[in-house]
Amino acid sequence: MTDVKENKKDELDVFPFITGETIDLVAGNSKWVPLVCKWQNDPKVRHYARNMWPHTIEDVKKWFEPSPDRHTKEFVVFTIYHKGDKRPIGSVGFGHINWISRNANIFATIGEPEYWGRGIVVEASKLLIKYGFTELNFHKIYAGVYTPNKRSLRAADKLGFKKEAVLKEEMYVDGVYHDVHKFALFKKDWINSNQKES
Amino acid sequence: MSGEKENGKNSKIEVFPFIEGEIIDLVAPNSKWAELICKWKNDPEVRQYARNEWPKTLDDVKKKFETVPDKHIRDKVDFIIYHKHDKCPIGNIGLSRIDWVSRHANIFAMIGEKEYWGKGIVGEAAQLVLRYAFTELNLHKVKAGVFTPNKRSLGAAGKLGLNKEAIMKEAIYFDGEYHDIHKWGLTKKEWLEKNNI
Repeated sequence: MTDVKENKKDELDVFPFITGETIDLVAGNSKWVPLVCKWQNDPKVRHYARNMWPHTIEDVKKWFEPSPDRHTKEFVVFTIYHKGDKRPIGSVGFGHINWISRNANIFATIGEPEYWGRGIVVEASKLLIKYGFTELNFHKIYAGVYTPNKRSLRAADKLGFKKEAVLKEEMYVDGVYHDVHKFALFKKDWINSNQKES
Repeated sequence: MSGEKENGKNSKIEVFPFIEGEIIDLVAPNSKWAELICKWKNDPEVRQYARNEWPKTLDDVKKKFETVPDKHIRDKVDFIIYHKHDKCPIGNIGLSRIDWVSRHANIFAMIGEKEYWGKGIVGEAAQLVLRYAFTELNLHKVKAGVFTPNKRSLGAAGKLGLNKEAIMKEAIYFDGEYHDIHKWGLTKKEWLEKNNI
């Protein structure tokens, strides 16, 4: 009985911003600070998310502070919320937003490893990409993936990104230099491929 | 004839042109011009068309020069119009209410030194700002609002090639009466066509 009530309570302060099938993209909630902190520090997760610094709860809390800019931000982040299991499982968003050149970097992390390999990043990214092109009016979305991160390389491909460049030995991970693959997706190409699908 | 206008301060102020024109340059604002700007904002003849109903103190004006921590992106750009030959600032011009998602902005201009009215200066300055808006800021549309008694500005908007888009009836109270505001706009595509680019 109490469980059902608790779940309902949880849902009351989850605010979906973009709805999907398996997951929704929801507004961040400061009560998830400990969870996000766990993800940031988790060795399995941070290895691919490339986080080399230990993060404290205070560090993470700062990200949830209300932002001053009315709407012109440098980055926008959503929490990936699993609908069936009713829990936040990662983040996805745009960083380095350049409003004049109308481009941005897309990033995604699944903080709960049991959700890896289930197509969630692809679903979340598809929703975010549509938002980027049709709501934020971007011209180009780009991403950087380093070679060992095979899942992300496959995701980029599935999402229709084209490889633009390979930056040799760009990233130092676990004692070794790795290449970074730069991918790009243009609005017009995205529109064309969407039309083909429908 | 001349050389430097007798406004002693100007000869010692460093002027930083940002966009160069023929008769005027658009330069970065300088806090040493605060008194001059204050004079313009309060001058009864200037302020009636610039629509400033509130007395501005020198402190009000100086506050605007306080450096704002570099925001990721600005929603307003302000230039001082600097007369090249007479070597003095004569007004200001810029873009306000920049909306980066819809990529439009409002253009505003004011000549604070009345002897420079009617010489096509706003026209030249605005041409430079339009080019900056479309080719540097990558804006999609520039808009302007002019109220009916301001015949010079109505003329300038027309000459610049702006399109009249709407009339907001009795939208502004001026000199004891309500007046219409004329809304003008120009898209990048239209600007490129008009300039044969």
